[in-house]
Amino acid sequence: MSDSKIIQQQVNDNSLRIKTPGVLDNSNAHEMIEILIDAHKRGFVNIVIDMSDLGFISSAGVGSILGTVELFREVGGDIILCNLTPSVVHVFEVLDLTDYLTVRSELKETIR
Amino acid sequence: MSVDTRKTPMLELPVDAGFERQQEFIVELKESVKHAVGELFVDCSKVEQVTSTHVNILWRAYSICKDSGVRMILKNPTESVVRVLSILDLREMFLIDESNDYSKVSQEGTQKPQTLDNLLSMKIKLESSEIATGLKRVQEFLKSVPVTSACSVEIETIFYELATNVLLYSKLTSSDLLDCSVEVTKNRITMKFIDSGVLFDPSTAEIRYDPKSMISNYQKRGLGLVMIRRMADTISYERRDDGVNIVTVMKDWR
Repeated sequence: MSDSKIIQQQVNDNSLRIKTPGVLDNSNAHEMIEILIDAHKRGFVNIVIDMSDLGFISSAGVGSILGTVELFREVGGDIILCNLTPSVVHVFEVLDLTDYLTVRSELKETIR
Repeated sequence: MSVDTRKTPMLELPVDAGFERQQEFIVELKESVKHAVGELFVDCSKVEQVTSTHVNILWRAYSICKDSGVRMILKNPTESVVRVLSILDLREMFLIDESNDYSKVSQEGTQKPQTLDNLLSMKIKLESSEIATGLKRVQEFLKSVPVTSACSVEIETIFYELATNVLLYSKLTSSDLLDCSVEVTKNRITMKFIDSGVLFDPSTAEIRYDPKSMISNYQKRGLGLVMIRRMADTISYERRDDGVNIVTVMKDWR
């Protein structure tokens, strides 16, 4: 998909900020995994994923985060999800993931 | 067996609704249903004087199609046909297409979606980009329906995950087509997915879902079916004798 580019921005020596595009699905989930594994190898401990533009997340998209978060937790860090859109919150709730992933809600909206 | 999912059979509702012609029509319909993949058209453009016999024929045809998991779509019905169905309170039961290019589309196998008031029907090539385009069509279609955001998200997700399952596991190629539809009725959304790939029943396939274990095992896959099953109200699967898979997903939206 055309709007599938994932943007990275180094915050400091330990932290990397990642901004997801409008979709995180089969077309770019592998890229997200590569970015996260690469960040881990480069020594980043905390990853902040800004999901403010994310309108659709597929199982592959969820899997890209779920399957890599332990890499960072093992070294005392984490993947922190922020600015989740209502649709993404809903998917995480359906999957009962809100207790397992660290979510910082700046756009706390209740889905209609 | 290779099944051509591009051609949609079309029958003509007989103007002369005498007994013999009725029987011929029903025989013809039953034969067409056997070969139909998902849908069948009944051309109603020539029936100006509607009698109770015409209604009976349509009713029987509807029942036969429904029992076989085939959507019957009335093509170009005359005003009289629509009026009589409305008077008899049957209008909502029948899917009606008043566009003029349906036969052309079905013969040429184009991927152009067909949107009726309450039905989105499309044939998708088995490629990631085509599924993404299909998803956009579903999202656009749902904007015209007063469903909740949560319901929209779930329908979109179910569509994407089921279509992706066919793409990844059906052993079909990018030249094959997946026939999908989303139909909205009074209280319910019904989605159908029809393909001729290997047998796979998403309604009963075993799933083991434990987020904690997924995290500790770095597991990145296996969420698609979990999402589908949790988001759908009901999922049914049929494997036809001719090697066609039909997955029907239902969801109440009110």
